[in-house]
Amino acid sequence: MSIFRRNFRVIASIALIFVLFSLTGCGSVSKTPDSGAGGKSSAIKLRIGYPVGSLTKELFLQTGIDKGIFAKYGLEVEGEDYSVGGQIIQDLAGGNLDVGIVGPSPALIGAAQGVDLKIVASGIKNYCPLVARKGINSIKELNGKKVGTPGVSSIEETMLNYLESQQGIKTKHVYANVANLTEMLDKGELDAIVPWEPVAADTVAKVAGAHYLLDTILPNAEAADITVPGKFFRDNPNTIVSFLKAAEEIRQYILKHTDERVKAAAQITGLPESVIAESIRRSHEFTTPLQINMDSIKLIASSDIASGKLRGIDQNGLNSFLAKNIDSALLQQALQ
Amino acid sequence: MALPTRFESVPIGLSRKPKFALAMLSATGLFAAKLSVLILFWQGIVLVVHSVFIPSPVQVWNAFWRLTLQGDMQGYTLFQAAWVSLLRVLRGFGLALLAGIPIGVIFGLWNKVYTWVKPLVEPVRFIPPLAWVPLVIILLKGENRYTFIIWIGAVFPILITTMSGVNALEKNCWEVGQVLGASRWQAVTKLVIPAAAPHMFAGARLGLGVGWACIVAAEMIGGGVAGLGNLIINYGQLLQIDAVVAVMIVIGVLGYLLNEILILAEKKLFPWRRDIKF
Repeated sequence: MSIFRRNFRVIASIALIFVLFSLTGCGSVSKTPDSGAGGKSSAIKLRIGYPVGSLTKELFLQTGIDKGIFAKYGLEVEGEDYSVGGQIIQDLAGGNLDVGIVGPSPALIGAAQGVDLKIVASGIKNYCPLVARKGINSIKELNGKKVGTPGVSSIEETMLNYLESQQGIKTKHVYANVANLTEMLDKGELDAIVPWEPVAADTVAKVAGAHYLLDTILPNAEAADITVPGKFFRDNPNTIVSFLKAAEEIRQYILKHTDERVKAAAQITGLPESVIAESIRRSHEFTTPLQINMDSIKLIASSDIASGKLRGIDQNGLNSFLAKNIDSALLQQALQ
Repeated sequence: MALPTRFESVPIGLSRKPKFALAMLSATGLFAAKLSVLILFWQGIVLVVHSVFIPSPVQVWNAFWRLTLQGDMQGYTLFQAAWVSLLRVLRGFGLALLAGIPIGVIFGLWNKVYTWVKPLVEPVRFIPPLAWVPLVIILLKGENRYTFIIWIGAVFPILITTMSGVNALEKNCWEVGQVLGASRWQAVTKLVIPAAAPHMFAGARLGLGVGWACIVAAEMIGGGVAGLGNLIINYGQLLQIDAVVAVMIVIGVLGYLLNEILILAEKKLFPWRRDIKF
């Protein structure tokens, strides 16, 4: 009997520990972002998703945090790394993110699949560089060659499709994690890559003979937009306006203090300052206006319809589809 | 009147062929009933949850035919993708057999060797194949990457079961071998390996299962243009979950068929093992 009691106590203690662990896991409390800008007692927490290694965290978010810009607007941001835009859209749809800095291609693909979301502002433009290995000196030479992009849903993939249609070439598309594209180019498995920055600048610095064929495939084209879930857009317009105000202030700060932010980003990423500076010089990352370049969005969507990525949308219904999913009213409010 | 012995057939009014046909019909009917229940359950979930990310059975069926007939966005059909993945798995699995069985026999015969290398080998066994991906990208090139990921997943089940099979050989068997004047080599080839063969086969089935399950992880490396794992990753990114589920079902069915083939072979090779079921 005493053995049974002792065993029971041991089992009960273990069970109690498990229960306590479970409760601590479920116990985090975050303020819901429905009280508008400049929360009264504590900051409004925003979960922000972005492609890993894209400088979104190191350049954009970190500037906002270091300089107290988010805090000024009553916001507290929490960054989440993703390897590709499609995953960000899935988490926006699932309510696991409040804001996504994500390419227009994955956002529109998600919208076409029925995901309730809104593109509210431009995040990054000029972000689809074309880097070739040694020996390839023109775009035409890429015909029939292997070109790597970060994934089938990425804006880089869309831009490669666009480039092919413009140049009358056809390449073999190879998809790989953006971090692996450099390695594959170095090993000769790929002839060119369309990554994002600073991966392109880093590749040129690391791989012998690698060079830019284009700083960006379509100048001034949207490459990553500030995208929010539809419900969040309807329920929390003031919070979104606050975030956009902060984004504009961060943009101005980076423009004025580029060298300082390059140093900070280099420290966080471990990349040489020259690589970060080069990537910003070529792509104007986070320094381009927040207004959405609608012409480029239409080109991107048209290219995605042609390639079969945008299901259920045709050229005739494109304008109404874009109008439904892109809304810059809050941006205008923020910029006033 | 003498009762029929267990070896005599009992006449029941049907010849062998109609009996077989009846059994097949019954099995098919049962399978169809189970499948119908599953599909109804699935459709029920679709109706209750009503999410854009949960495709209906009809959507998945349509995606399956679209991928089979038209192929993916690069033009590779489901059959081509399955063939590429199957070859990758067989390559990795074949190499796992080549490594796992001899090493398992050595570890089983000379336990001291195993004890000596155990602190080095055992931790590697618990590293998930997915964790190898970044290293594999740097160290290997092309198809060798996929082969390695599948190999690392398949080799340990084969190695461990082979080793335990050799260990399970009773001491008496060794002694009988020695009494009959068998050399060490003869004892290994005529006694140990035949006795451990069912264990090796069980390990091979386990290894093939794990290797097949590693295909998506392996193809996550990227760099390849076709494969079932590639299809899952690409259609997942495009949020075309109907296509993802269609490919998942194909992976499951192919894995099941491969396992059934090995079970059949195992039953033929080791008929005394009546307990082979899964």
